[in-house]
Amino acid sequence: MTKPVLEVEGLVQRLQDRERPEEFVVRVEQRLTVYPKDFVALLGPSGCGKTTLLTVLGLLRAPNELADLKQFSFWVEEGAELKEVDLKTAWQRRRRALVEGVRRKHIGFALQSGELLPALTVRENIECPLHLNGWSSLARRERASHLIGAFNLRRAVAEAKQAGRKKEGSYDLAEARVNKLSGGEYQRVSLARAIAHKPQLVFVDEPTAALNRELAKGALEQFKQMLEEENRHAATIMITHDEELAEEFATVVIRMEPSKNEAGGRVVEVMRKAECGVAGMKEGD
Amino acid sequence: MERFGYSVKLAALDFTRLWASTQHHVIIVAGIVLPILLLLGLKRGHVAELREELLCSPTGRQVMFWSGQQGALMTTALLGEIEAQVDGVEIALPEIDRIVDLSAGDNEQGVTLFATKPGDPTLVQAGCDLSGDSPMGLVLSRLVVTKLAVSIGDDVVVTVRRRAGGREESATVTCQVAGVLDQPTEKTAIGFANFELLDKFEQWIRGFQVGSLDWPSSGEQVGPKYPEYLVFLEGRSSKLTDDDIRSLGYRGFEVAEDVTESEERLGGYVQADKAEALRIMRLRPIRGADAKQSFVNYSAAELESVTQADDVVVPWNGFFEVAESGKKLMGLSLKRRTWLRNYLVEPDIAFHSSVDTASYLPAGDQAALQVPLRDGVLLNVGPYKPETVGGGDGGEEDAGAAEAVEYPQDVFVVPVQFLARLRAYGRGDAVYDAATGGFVPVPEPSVYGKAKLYAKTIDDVPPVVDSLLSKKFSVISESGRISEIHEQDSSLQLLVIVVGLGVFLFGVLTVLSVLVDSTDRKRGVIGILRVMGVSREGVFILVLIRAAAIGVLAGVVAGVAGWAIEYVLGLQLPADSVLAAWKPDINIDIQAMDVVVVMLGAVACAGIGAVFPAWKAARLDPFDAIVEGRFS
Repeated sequence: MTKPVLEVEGLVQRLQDRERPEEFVVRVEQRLTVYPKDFVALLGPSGCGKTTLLTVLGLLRAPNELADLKQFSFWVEEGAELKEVDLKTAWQRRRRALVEGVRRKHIGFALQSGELLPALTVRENIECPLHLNGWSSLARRERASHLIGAFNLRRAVAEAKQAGRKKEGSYDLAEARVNKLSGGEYQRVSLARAIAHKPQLVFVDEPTAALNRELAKGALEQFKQMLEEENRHAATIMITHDEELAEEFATVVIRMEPSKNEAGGRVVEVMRKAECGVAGMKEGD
Repeated sequence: MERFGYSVKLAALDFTRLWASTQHHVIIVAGIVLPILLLLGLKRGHVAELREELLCSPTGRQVMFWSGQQGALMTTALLGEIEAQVDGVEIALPEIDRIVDLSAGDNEQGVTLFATKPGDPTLVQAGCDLSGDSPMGLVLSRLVVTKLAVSIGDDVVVTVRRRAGGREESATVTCQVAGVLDQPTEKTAIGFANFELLDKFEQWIRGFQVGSLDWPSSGEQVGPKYPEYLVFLEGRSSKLTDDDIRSLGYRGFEVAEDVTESEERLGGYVQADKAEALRIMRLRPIRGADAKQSFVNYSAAELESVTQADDVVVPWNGFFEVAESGKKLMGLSLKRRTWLRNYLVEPDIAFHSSVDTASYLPAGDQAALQVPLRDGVLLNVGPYKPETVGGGDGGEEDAGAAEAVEYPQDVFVVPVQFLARLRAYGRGDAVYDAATGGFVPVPEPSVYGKAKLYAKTIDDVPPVVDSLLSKKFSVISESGRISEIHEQDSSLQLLVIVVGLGVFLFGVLTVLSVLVDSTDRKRGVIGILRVMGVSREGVFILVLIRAAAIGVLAGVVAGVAGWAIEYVLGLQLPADSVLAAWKPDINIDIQAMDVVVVMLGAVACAGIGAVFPAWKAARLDPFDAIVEGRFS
């Protein structure tokens, strides 16, 4: 039986916000399971709690109703096998270092606005998670160069070389600060950084928020291809409003809707596409 | 460790590459620490100067003293001893002054010169101290310099005047202007001269010769003094009565009979056949502890009147051997009419008591005589032609005896006063004044009525005063002023501490606020780092490192700015320039150590100020930080 990457059931996340008059509650009552090679599209209208769900699933925030939480597990790669990390227990025991370790090593984020570090170059941004995970200098360089090439981030210099001359004002994107990048380049760097340390689960937040659909699709295709080639256990959770994008890329669609009785939202549907053909995917009620 | 190193690298890259967003933080922190640096510079410069002026003010350190209770003479030697032996004394000076005339070219000005010497704190403070190698230097007030139209280095002629023998005399010496005393509040014609020069002026005015300035004496010769007298009585059995001896004793004389043969014959000038008829005794002053008391100056007539006997008293200096001549001088002066003249080989061979010259009476074929003095000087003792004194009572007998006279060839008769002065010269009690051709008194050391000293600091004044009082000097000092100065000094120190503390506390608060703002602006970055797995501790360290870098750079900026201000304030602008009127006369002394201290202070300030922002940053919710960071 195929082991999942992430499994959660009975998640209730309450948010207290001084600026909101009432509590905001996100509920995942059914079991959610993400398997290797899944490309999950988390769909729903604005304000239904998609990002809140992302922060919990991405281990950025602790679930605050641990008593209701039936299961919260993450399977990390150990050699060829996947080993379960019981995150519910880790949160209960306040093992913050363990949780942060799982997040640092096994989760990647490509956030809505790219969120690159402005002081660093493209290469340095891509190398950042590698530094944090203790990769050697040589391995970092090779990995970053590979991703820079794969995400077509040498364009300007390549064009200059092709023209047979050093174009005035041309620069190597890899060595350029990120404030020199176009929107598409920025998003590609963000995606490259998200998968640089070969995580098992990558969160992609609203890829079309800052880009037009075509550019976003191009970037996602490169991303998906890289992920599938490099890590057979890796899965992706993409938050989006874009049904068309979900239709094109997702193998699993999770729908959320605003709750009727309270402020917040809940997961109402988990649908696996038939053509995905992955066994063992359990859909909630 | 690797992650820590990476945090440092991220902080450094953030600091340098995002300089545009960091520079104002550096400038703000530099603006806070710069006043602290300037305060340190002021403390080391201007405040130290003020404090030095207070604690080392000549006025506060001055002690006036005189020998009212002690009665000892205040001499240069005594002042030297006080300077050397009393702890805490910087310098001691006689309190004397002398009015002189100064001239330069056609300009003249009467000036009161006060005593000073190199290191005189009053002149040191005024910046016009006499240097040690200019004993003839004068420090003159601006008024005098202006009237004489001279400047530093120019010659001025000092004229000193005295009255001697009913006439006015003057002497001049050329001195140099060594300094100008600017005392805008005192428009008086004053100056300062080395006290040794003023002593010489004083000696000359008192009639002494001043050899070092080639100033002659007033011509008044040293008073003749005699170590003994010879008492001549007629008849071998004659003698002084007990009453005579007692009366002489009352006057400090003792009578002895140890007269030599040569003295009995007065060097051969007593007729040989009459010598037996004379009885001669010796009168000596009863010697006291002071050797000078062994020489007295009683007139022969006075001593003769003391006794009832018909004696003749002769002041006696013995025989003076003239070097390298084989000759001797004998001082012999007698009244015009006295029976003793009849005993001489010739009555007129003794000088009359009133004759007081450097002469000898020619006897036989004796030639002129040269008496060698010190330093190769030869004193000519020439023949003297006396008036005929006429001898004593037996004029006819004398005339008959004169034909058979045999004069001693090796003894010259000179006035007794002259020989007494020659003896005084030999003893060092007189000097030969070539200008007047006489023996004049040796200048006596100056004696001062009052003196002043300067203690090294005002704190040394009380023990110095105690020491002087224990030596029975009368003392006036500024003890009350010293307490006042101590209070002012404490106030000054307190002011520096309070202002420094205030600036430092304000600095910490401002840095705190700046770094909170800076950290808020970095929330997005912090959120990204947290999302990628940087721990809270990592974020905390990152913010602290960045704050420390801001502190170091702010210290450097403050140091450079501080030195620039120090340079500008230290510029000497021409007095007539417009800027000079605006430039504050303030001394800032910033040393490298101050900059290091301020840099460490800035780092500490930034570090302390960064603790809260760093803690706040470490506790940020990663996703909230990112979202909020998008709008900051």
